[in-house]
Amino acid sequence: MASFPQLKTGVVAQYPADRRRNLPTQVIRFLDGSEQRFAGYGAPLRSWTIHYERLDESELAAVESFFEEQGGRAGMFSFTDPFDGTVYPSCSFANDRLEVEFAGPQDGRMQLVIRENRS
Amino acid sequence: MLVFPQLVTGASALYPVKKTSVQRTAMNVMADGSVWIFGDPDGAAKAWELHATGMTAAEWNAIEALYQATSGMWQTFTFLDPTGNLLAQSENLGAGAWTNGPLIQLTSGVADPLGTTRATRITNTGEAAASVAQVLSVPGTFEYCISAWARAAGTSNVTLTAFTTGANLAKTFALSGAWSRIVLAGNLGQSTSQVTFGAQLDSGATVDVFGMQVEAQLAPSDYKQTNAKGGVYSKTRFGSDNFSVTAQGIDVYDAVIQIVDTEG
Repeated sequence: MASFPQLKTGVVAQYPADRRRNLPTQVIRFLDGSEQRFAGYGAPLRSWTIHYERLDESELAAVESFFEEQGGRAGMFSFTDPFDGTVYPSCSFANDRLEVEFAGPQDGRMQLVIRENRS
Repeated sequence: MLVFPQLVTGASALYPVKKTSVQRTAMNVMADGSVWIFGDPDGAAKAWELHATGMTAAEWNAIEALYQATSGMWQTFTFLDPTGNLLAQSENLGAGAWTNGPLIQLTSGVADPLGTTRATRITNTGEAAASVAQVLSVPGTFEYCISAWARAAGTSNVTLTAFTTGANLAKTFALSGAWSRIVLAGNLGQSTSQVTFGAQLDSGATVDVFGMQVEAQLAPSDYKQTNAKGGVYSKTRFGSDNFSVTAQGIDVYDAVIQIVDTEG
């Protein structure tokens, strides 16, 4: 399986980096104000928002090419959590759209969201 | 051949350039939280937003003439990605995109200057000079820059070439055992619609090559690896029928130009 590409420095993310956990709890509220809650499914799924700045064109092109090889959300790849180094073997892009800005020489910028899949 | 014009300086675009890659997928979320996603490669699209500031009247007139020739968003034109490598299969020199000499031998998996093993060893086993070359459907009137990293174990030379009907450019480089980035830049100045770019080896020469890149500009930028698709988009369109320019002064024009590619 493919792996999310590293930058030239060997890292996969820059500051600021966001990590989220998502659990789909269902909440049913009744007319008397009471409610029932149901856990949707077991373990939470993680997602990461990656912000890139000051990348060179090679690094931008590598991520862009990887996004297209994956077909946007359709592909699966392994991703190393930049917070703790854990490798998550089944992840995907969360969006079908990738915007890349070439703001200046050696100043490429992009933002993308990666989500963990339930295997 | 309708082509998005270069600036008079030979640059293909100004900073900032925004580029958007759009894929199309169908997504089903199951009750247990698992997700089934199906890709639709034919639905992929690309878009560019060019912020052209400080254009001369001649530069703006050339873009406006193209806009009139295509009737706005209606018809297509060729666009050379200002952020891309025009060559396809830049690291697979044996792929169908390349038209190599019949006695050229390729060995992939060679150590490259970036610390990986993506370079290719090229050996010309023939009795005459031969090339690793690629024909691009691009105008012969643009400024181009072909670049690559190269080295040789012995005393081999390599010649970077660009030719079209009626003109050619070539520059020979004496190589050493250390990687060096070699560059050939120029304008063929011919009203043609195909240009062949390549690296030519003398008879018996063996050269390691990595990162071949062609750009429609005067000097090389960072190397961009390509796969099946290079940076030549032959069916792009203007992204909007609204086309406006702001005159900031005498012979100083600003515009934001949107270009889309939905047909690959």
